[in-house]
Amino acid sequence: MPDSLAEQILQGKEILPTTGSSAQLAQIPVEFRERAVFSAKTNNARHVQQIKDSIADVLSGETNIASARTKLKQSLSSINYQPDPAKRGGLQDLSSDTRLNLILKTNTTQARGHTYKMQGQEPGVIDVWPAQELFRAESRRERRQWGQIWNQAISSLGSATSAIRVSDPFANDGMIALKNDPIWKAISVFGTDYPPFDYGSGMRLRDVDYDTALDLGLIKEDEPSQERDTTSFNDGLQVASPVTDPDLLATLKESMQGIASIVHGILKFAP
Amino acid sequence: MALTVSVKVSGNADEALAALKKVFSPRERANIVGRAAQNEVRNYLFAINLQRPNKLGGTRTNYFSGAAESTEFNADDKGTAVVNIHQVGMRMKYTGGKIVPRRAKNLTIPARSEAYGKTAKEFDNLQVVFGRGRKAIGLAERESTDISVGKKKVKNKGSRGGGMMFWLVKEVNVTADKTVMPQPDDILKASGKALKAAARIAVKKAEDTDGR
Repeated sequence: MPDSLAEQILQGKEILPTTGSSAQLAQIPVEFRERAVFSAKTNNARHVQQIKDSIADVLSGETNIASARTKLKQSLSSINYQPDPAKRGGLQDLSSDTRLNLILKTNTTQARGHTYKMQGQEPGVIDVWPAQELFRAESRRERRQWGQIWNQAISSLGSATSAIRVSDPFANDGMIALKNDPIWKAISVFGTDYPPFDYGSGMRLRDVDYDTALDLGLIKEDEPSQERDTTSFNDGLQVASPVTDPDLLATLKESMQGIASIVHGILKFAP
Repeated sequence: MALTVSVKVSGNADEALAALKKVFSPRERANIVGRAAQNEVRNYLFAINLQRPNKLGGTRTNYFSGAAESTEFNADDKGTAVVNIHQVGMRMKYTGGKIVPRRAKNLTIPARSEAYGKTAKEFDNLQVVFGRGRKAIGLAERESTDISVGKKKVKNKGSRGGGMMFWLVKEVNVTADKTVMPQPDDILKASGKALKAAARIAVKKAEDTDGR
């Protein structure tokens, strides 16, 4: 078993070669996407396996992003991949730095973000740090308006959230809520309650302690502790599949063998 | 890189200590200590990530942010917590030491910002530059780089579209840099503070349970 918990999370995922575009793949329920390693319009199983292996090497601390990226370029070269000349160097060029960095960074951040979330739910930990804060960990030339995204999510969720509003639309911190508040999934384009919350985002989470949560009114002294989220990838799961695109459905059915099946519109994961 | 953190709860907080032991198992107490240490390391690394851009000024790789995110803790039933940083190069930065090539003859050191965060294999237009005695000293862009090699210095005499991208070296001696990690005392303080908070929560929980 790998030493790194993040790598263990990755190893629990199945590879999903697919011809689906990113827009099509976005239709797949998050519960499924969380359990799979895939890349839009990448249907070569060997290359998708290489993507997974390269991410594992980064997560274990064996290699860095540059070496992992080089391996992926070699993998593409070995299958004679040639980008469309008009799209060379861009996101749709599977061999471009932009595309490969996005794949490696997004997947490593997801696995590590998931690990930090899971460890934050451990008995004892959730009591001492019941809340968390969205903050800027990496600077960006162009910043998203996370403060605005945050406040909009609060408005949409209404009484379902106890998250604290912020005044700055470009807020770099101060976006605080309980760990199991629905706002975390609401602000994520991936539908996950851990970072990254968007492509290339430099925002991450950090724990907020009991006293601060008390001061902010997120918890009350006489209330029981927050219930732990112990959801695991190993749990069997059934969700209604919103995938309506027949081509994507066919691709998914074929590539999901052993991971999940779609029966009468219900996506059922193998336990 | 593994860092072991152990914290002893001492002092006169008998009631708090008793409640802590009653409410939280050794494993849970180790979880709390481990998380506190993880957070201390993580927050420290995120902070230095913002303070330390790369020396050559190229596109940032956010190395220390990656190190922060790779920080995990392990706790066991005996009450021990260990914090691990799963980021390539962190141990070497902290302890220092010699780096030698594993699968190649030379190490490649970025010579300019465009090479930063990349491997030499990612360039398809590099050629080996030889110095005195036909010794390979660097990799330059193929077209038009004028280099003069003296007894002690290699000079770039101006480039016509190309330039030296990587220096080739047989080994690198890394100087230990203890500032890439928080001070052990700070980690202990953070763990102690978390245990104190846990003790207060435990007293409250114990009162609630006793009062029912």
